[in-house]
Amino acid sequence: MTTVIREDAVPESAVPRRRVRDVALRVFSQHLIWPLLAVVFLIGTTVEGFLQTENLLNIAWAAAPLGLMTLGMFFVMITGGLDLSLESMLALAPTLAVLLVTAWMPDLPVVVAIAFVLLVGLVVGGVNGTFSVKLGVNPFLVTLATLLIMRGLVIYLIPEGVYGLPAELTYLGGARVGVIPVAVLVLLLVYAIGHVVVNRTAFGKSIYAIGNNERAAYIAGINVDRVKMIAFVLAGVCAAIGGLLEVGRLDSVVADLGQGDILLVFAAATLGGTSLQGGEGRVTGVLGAVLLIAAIDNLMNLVGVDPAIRQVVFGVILLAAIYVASLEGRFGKKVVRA
Amino acid sequence: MSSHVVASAARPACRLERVTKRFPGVTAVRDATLELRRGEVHGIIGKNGAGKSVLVSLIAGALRPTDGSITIRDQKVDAATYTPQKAHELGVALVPQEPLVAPLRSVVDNLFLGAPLRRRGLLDHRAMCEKVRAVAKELSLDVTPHQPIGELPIEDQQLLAFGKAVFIEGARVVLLDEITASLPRERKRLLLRFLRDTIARDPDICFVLITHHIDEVIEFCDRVTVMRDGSPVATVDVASTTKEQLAHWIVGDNAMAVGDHLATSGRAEPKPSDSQPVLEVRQLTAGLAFQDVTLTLHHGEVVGLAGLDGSGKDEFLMSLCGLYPPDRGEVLLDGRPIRPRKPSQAMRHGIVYLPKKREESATIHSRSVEENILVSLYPRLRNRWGLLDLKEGRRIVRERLRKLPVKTPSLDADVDTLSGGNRQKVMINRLAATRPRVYLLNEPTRGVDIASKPEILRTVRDELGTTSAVLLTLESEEEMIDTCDRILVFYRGRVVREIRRGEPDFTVGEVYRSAQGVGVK
Repeated sequence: MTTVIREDAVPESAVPRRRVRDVALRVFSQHLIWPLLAVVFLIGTTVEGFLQTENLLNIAWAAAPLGLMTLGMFFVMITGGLDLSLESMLALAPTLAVLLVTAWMPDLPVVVAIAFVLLVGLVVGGVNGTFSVKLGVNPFLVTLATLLIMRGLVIYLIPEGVYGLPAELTYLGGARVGVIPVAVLVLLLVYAIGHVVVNRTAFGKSIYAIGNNERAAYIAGINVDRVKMIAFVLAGVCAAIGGLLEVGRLDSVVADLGQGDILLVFAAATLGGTSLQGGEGRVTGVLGAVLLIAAIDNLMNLVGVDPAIRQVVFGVILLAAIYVASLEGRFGKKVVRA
Repeated sequence: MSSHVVASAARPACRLERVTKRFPGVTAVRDATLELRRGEVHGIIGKNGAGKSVLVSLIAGALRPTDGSITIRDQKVDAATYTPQKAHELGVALVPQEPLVAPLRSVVDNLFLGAPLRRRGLLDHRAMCEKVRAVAKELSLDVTPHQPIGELPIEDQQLLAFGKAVFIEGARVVLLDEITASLPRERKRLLLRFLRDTIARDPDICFVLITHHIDEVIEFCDRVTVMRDGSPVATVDVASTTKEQLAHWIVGDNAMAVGDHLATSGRAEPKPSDSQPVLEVRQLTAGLAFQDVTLTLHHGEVVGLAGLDGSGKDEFLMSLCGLYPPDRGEVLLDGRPIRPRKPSQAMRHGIVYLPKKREESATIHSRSVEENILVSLYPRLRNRWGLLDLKEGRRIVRERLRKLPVKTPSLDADVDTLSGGNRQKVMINRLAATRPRVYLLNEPTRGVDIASKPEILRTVRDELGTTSAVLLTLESEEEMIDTCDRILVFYRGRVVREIRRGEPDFTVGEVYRSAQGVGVK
């Protein structure tokens, strides 16, 4: 028997048509989020002001903190875990950093605060990982506990919030380079790095292997515990950066920063094609979903949906979007059968 | 064929007359005539594929015979409409190897599934729980009625399925399909003794015990039927036979010859073993699983581990790659002691393991063929930027596929779309891509189609066995004889025999006999 890697003999004329079909199938089976995003933008053309550059930049800007948290969640979810504590991390990391350079050690250069934000993300991510991976506690319960602990700490430390932050701290979240907000550049940069990490590193390949068959991955020589641990740490760091961006955008730290956002993070991750069972999903899909959610939010603002009914409208749209996105898997099966 | 007539056997529990079961392309049971009596434990023994499981499935209505007649407790069965439901009504219960249960539901729900106890129209929960406790006590099981059944080890689930058949459904003909295979030795004895006790109390019951272990037949059965190639070749009183005799019937006469269709594939004679061995194991012991195993493995050698389920060979293989911790003893790789605690450490020493249950423990589902081949290699595929060198990866995959081809539409195809045989070849390519020193292969032809088996075995012999050293188990003694240079036979946790290619005893029959403990002190 010979190797059969079919790069088939297809009649010359049929090639372009087949290619179009393949691309279409590929888009619908793997990147359905982009057509969906296109549809929302198409609807957006009917709303005045939506397609203005400034507004589009605002969408991406507002999407940045959610985007960072979702990417972090993505890593953990691919390994089959989850991290509920990300929204509290979003608040705690900048809170500690701000207090460090304003109250506790005012002599420190403010830049240190940025490094400190990353450190907090790393440490808390490590704690989540240690309990979930090394000590074998259900990550849902572990991160639920750290969610509460970190939120409690923030409320204890800054019950009234802190307003008017040092410029260095708000640079990443609040400043612009030309017209483009730095936060948007950070978002794109981090997603680009995430894309490379997932597709071009052993760690990236390992998280998918673990998510699809943990035992097989273990026997195949993957250090499962270490990989899962790294995923939790990455999630913590991503959320901490997200916090820095959010704080910069608002030019303040408040005690309920990001509270309740974890549900949006789940929505974005699943909308972007990340499986709750682990092992499935892609970085680009998650980015698309984050932008989609931000765009819907923005549209509702522009149209002026009554705040009283806002959540209902948002929920309904989200439900419809998640349903459409769930068709992706079914298209996928058809491709396999074809 | 001999058969004693016992007085109590006047009314048989079950009679098969000239029963045949044909599947497309294969006759699984051929012209089987057999009588099971009330008040006996009847053993059915034979090699894999001898037709044992099909035979009991016919009795239990899970399959319908192509030809012949079945009578159960004096009632003739209509072959055309026979179903598990009808078998059930006639008092037949089959306890399968892997009991089908609702894993998340409680023990009590599972045991009374379909036929709950009622009191004044309502479920009588208390009575059901009482009953479960009583069953658990009888079988010395440590379970509570409300525990989800999926939490229990598989052997406990099996015992509960057995308890359900005997105590709750009151079955009269109880078919046990290799129920002892996954039981630890002590539990096994307990269960088998329990069969005897039950029959002593209620001589109307008949137990049918399918097994691979001649020892169990000798110790616990009244009569035994030997199956070979789909037919019962002998039914005898256990008291009037011996282990040798049974082994002889099971293997048949023709199997004494050396299998040679692969042996002639041009592989050189085993190399002289004066060089330093790649792997040396000294007195390795792991609790009750295996004791004092000592072996040497040289570069360019293919060594087979023979033995029944539970003989310790699986655990021994797993202990060498860090999946089953040994208690004491030494493992030396190239003369240096090693003690891998997990597969990633074993792999760093160049020891790789192919698990027996491929879909559970090897296949990375939903991922591509290429990723499945490279998954163990990724940490080594770094370019100077620290990123994966995907081009090099693809080159390695193509090179591997030239040596052991896999039928796939493309390298990016989902591995789950491949056939079992091709998936197994992907797994073997995965191991080979790491260029290991030692391969540990646990039944590499399991769940593989007929056409792929020789391909895989040829790769083991001609490639893996020349570039490295191979330690493997195989389901069939024939494949073993074809593939190995040397065979070590495990029996009750110990290596009891070593047979080399070229020796007169290097035969299927002898390997089988030793694995059964025949001719072993």
